Amino acid sequence: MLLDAERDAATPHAPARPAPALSSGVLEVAGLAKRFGADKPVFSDVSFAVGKGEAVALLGANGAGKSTLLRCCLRLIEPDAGSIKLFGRELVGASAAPLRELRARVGFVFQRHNLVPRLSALSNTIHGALGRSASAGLWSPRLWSQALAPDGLRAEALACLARVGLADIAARRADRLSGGQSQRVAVARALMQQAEIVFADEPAASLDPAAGAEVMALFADLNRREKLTFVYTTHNLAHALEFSDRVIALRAGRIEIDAPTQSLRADDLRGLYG
Amino acid sequence: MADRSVPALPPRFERPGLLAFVLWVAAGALFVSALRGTGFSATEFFHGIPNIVRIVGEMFPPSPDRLAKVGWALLETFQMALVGTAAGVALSLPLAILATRHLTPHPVFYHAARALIALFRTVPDLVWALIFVVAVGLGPFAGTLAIMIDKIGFCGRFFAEAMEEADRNPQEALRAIGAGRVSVIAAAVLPAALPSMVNTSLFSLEKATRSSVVLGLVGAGGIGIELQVSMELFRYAEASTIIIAIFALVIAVERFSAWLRRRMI
Repeated sequence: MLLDAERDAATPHAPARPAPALSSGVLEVAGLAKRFGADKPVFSDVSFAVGKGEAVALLGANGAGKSTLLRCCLRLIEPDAGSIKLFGRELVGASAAPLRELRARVGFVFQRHNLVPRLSALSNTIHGALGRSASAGLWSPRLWSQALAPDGLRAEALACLARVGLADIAARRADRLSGGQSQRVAVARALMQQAEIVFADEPAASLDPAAGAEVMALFADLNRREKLTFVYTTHNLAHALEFSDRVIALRAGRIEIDAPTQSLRADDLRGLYG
Repeated sequence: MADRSVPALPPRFERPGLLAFVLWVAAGALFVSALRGTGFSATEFFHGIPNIVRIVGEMFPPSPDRLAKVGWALLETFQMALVGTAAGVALSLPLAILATRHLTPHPVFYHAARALIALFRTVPDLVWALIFVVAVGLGPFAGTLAIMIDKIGFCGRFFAEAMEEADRNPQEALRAIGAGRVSVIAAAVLPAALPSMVNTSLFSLEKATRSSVVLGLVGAGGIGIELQVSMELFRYAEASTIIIAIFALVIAVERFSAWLRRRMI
């Protein structure tokens, strides 16, 4: 953790965003540990909580375990020890059905967007509703492609694409989109999911600086206007300082910094990469 | 310039080790025994050339006497190939999913599906035709079933490989959304594997068209039986008509599948 004295010494820069009014914890992680093989610990004893409406930047050098931590929080990678509570419900040890139910409430935007390449932007957006199909009484085969989807869902997906500024390319195949457009379709998929929290794993890393900033601004806008909880990993210190309320930094498998963004400067964070 | 000593050139060929030498000798012996076992003889081949020339001479001009019957048999041959391939492709899909390591619900299903595919693929279609002729009687249905089984083996293997090679990232994205196994397969795996699967299916149709000609030789329907009768009755002009018809059908199917492949992939 950053020492209090160091934090006090740091000149707080002008707050770019108002501090959110936090309510109950959306994500609570306690004592989480993960190792790949006996001699490859990734992180251990990681604990933090994320409140509703919070934007949290997860920092750390390559191999610090940011992406693994984010994936563990959805059990896309199984943690070795610890507890993960999403919306107050324990994720570790949950069976397939409740796990799917919890995942359906969490959007995940990957570094390389992970769209289905041969399907249209509209079909990929409609996939966002797959997780809520059971609870919404939807027959999931109708969500496999926009051609099969009910009219209401097609319109909803188009509205999600419009929110990310891509309604005009709804019919275009995902493999014919630019990197920035693909990433925005991935955001539209999370919107279609009606996610309450979005995890984003270096969402701007595969994009050029302008497209990366555009995608980050989109997330920040959703976070501000719709109180969407947002946890993202990044190597870009400017993105961390500009788009988050709080920074959690990993170093050598432990949390080194967990502090409000307002209290941090870029210099405080550069040490993570030394 | 400083005098530099140049090392000796390495040998052109490495001296084989004892095991490699023994294996080479064994392989040579096996090939020689195979030549003897098959009665391979250049002399007999050259003695047979006049007969080949005579038969080819008798084949021309092709006889149009049984053109209508040949046409119907050709149509039946294509129908066998089409229905057998379509049924085989449809049935191979669920089997291929079970035979895909990361999609199968349990390792037992994986090994069982792989074993079944291996069985269907390794037993030749002619053997399946013999079995089905006994089971359902002479005629095109037996041939169609034989093609279907053969295609389940062929497509099952290649479909499974295409699904194993499909990009895992979109699958992970849908799992993260909370999509179930079937939805992940239908919405992420199949679209990714589709080009390869279409290619395999069209190649299967080409292969089935050629196979269905031969299946007639064991009474499993199609034009093969017509060819057999013509050859056995020394009606070579009629046989050449049939061979030309088969050639035209196979080329037409290959052209059609190449066109479809270009359009779909």
